[in-house]
Amino acid sequence: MYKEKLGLQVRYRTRRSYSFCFYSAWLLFLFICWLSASLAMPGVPITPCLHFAQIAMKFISIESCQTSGKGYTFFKRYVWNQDGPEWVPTLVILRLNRAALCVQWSPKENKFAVGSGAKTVCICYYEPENDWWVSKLIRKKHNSSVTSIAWHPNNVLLATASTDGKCRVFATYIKGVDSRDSVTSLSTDAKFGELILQLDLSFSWAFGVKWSPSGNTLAYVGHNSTIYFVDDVGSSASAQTVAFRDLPLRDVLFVSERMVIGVGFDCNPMVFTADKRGIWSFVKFLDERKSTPSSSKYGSQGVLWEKN
Amino acid sequence: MAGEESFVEVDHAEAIITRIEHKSRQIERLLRLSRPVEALKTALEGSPPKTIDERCKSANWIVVHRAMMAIKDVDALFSSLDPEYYDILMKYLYRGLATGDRPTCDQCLRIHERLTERAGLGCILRALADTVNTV
Repeated sequence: MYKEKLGLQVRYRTRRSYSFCFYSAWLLFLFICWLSASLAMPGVPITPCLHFAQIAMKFISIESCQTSGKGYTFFKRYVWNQDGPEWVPTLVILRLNRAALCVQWSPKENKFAVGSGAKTVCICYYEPENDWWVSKLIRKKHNSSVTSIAWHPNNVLLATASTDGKCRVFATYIKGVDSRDSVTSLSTDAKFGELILQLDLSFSWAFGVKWSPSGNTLAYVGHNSTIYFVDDVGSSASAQTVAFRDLPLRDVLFVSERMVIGVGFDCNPMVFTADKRGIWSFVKFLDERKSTPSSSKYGSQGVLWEKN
Repeated sequence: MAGEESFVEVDHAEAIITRIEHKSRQIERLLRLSRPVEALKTALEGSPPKTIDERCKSANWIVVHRAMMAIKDVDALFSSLDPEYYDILMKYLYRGLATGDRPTCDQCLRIHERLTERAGLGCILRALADTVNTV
């Protein structure tokens, strides 16, 4: 079930990963409690995004509220910290004037990024002196809403996908939060907000960008039923376009270095793998389908093709 | 600066139109030899998607239309057409459907049915979602 209205990302897991089922069930429980509490109050705020940081035991929620006086919609972000049995919210001012679309903690959980409809990405970090979360904006580079963001494992690089069809990689080095040792060859001496790479592969909206576990490969989907894989992002980026026969995907997930699962409008997860040469292709759907006249062609190269 | 760009565009457009005329002569020849599938392949090859010039697009459309209307056996078409042509054919099918002309639409719909079976809904999405490379 794809709960697009609530903005939750439902991740498909195999039967073996019970811990993930527990974690997502726990998150859902929290959300339901919060929703029932907030519905009782007037001026219902809506939470379009939620992300949980497992190690730091914090989570972020973004709310939109309407003040009755001016009819303004503004966006608040709360970082929830566990204080004993309760979760205590801390307000973070984002300085956005459009919807926040996606949020994610960085791998070290000391920063988080928010993509918005205001064509900006907000990177927020904690300043211990003032006990406050500060936000820095990446403006000017995006031509349209930022639909999806993904942190590289090195905690400094951020990939963004936008409805202008481009996928961009930025450096988000923040003095005092990131150490220069963690920086790889890709982002040496890169300032905050510097554009490292811009991928112009898609002619339609881009969604669902993700890095592979090692950070070597980047994958994102376009609204024209294609999925793009970019290998060796650091040294010599090589891109592959895999066009498939069904409805577009909305999000992807790297199960391993060579396997990606995509979910989308077909309500049926699709599995993509890379072979020994590094060529990605569609393998199968996760759910079994009833056989159709051309079902034998699902896995073959005759129907699905890839261009380098 | 804009003037310079449009000057370059016009030159380039003339070259494209010459190519299209050359292509249409080839296609007439193939149709006389009763090879409609190859005629269609020739017409689809080298389509100028990135040109903004309407004349080039119209010229190419006329050529593709001629080849498409000559196709009688749609199944034979798909048994020999390579998958790389599916996307561009779908775009031309939608252009044909937009004309509203009865025989064109009939032929387009016949081909569309078979093409969707072969290439799936993704092909339709690619034809519709791509606003940059239009035909």
